Amino acid sequence: MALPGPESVLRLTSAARPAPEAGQALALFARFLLLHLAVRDLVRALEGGDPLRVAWATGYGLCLLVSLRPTWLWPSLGVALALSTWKWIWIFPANSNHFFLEWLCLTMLFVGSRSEGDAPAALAALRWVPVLVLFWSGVAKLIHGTYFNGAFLASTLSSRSFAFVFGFLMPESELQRLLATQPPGPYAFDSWPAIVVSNGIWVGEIAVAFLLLLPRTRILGVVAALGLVSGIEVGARELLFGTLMLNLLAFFLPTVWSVRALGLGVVGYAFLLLVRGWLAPDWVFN
Amino acid sequence: MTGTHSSWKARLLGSLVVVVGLWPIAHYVLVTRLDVNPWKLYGFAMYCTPHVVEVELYGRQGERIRRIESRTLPPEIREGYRAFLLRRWVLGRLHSPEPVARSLLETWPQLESVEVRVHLERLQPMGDSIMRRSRVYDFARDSE
Repeated sequence: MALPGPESVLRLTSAARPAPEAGQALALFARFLLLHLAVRDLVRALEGGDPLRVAWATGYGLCLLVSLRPTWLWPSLGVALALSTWKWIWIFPANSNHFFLEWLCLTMLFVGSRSEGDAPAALAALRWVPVLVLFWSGVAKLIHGTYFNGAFLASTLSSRSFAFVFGFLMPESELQRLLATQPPGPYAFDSWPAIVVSNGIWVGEIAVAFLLLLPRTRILGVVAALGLVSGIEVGARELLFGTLMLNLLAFFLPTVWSVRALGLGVVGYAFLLLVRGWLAPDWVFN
Repeated sequence: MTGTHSSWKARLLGSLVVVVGLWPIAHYVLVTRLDVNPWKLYGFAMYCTPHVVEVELYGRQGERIRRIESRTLPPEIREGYRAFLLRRWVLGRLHSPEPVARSLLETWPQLESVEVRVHLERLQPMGDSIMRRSRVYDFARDSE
């Protein structure tokens, strides 16, 4: 008996929707992704990062404009992919996982957007992205063993915005003790609500990955993933990553949700650019 | 529509999913065995542990050992040193300090050897404290 090919993994995330509808969802996400890439580099440029960021942001922005004409979508994705591959080589090895996800999504879109017949396979592949990210993020926290007693979160309270969240979950005295603790520690939560939240993060990430994978629990998975990602946003302020995840999660819902996610992305990014460029340039977010 | 992905593009997309899906296993091995940064190299192990790398340079001349402060490095070496810091922080022991040590030995002929001390700080697994582990690399002029 022949072994199943690698394409068989796509069956696990297949969408029961016709190719034109899958193609429409991909086209919406492609425009979002190009916008996302342009905005992310523009935000970094406004923060005074590598001057090349302006060039990359301009490149992605032009790709977005060109892609608005449907027949030019595929070539514009090709140019954006070439740009991202150059960026990957240029920044390596300091590239973030977030950057890798963008490159991966671009590649999947480029492979699956040439003809409508390939759209369902590309859609199934893109559905795997949030599943893998959530599953491995949860497993990594589990096997590193730094969430059982809240050690990781406790060690980063002073350097990240987690203090805002955990301030609600522990007495003021515990929060102040942890904020004042210097390396090497000890770092651990005493309050059970904080310990529950710490463990709920990795358990939630793994559970949501499975909920998204199983056809009967996908809607619940999307709702749970949105809750989880929103919670992470409040603590880690990974707003750009969160918006990318939101648009990826929309693939598990009818196409109208991709339109809504794209709209939310456009409005959200306009606001973030205003914040970074004008309203509150020092406010930290990723 | 469901379950009929059979073109070469579907195989390519499926292969991408499989590779990306299995990479975190290899990544974990690199993180635990070779000090690769869990936050980097696409293993999705962000927010697991702090990963702080600190490097100290020492030069030996006879019996005298002196610390070489990075701010005193000549500009042409400082650039290479900064690149080393970044690469070491991400790639861990996959990136050797040898080029930095060799360039120091070339710049200061009076030095007989250069010692590079690399300190890595991470949270203790299952514990509550940050562990500091150090590795010392010695590069003698004779072994060039």
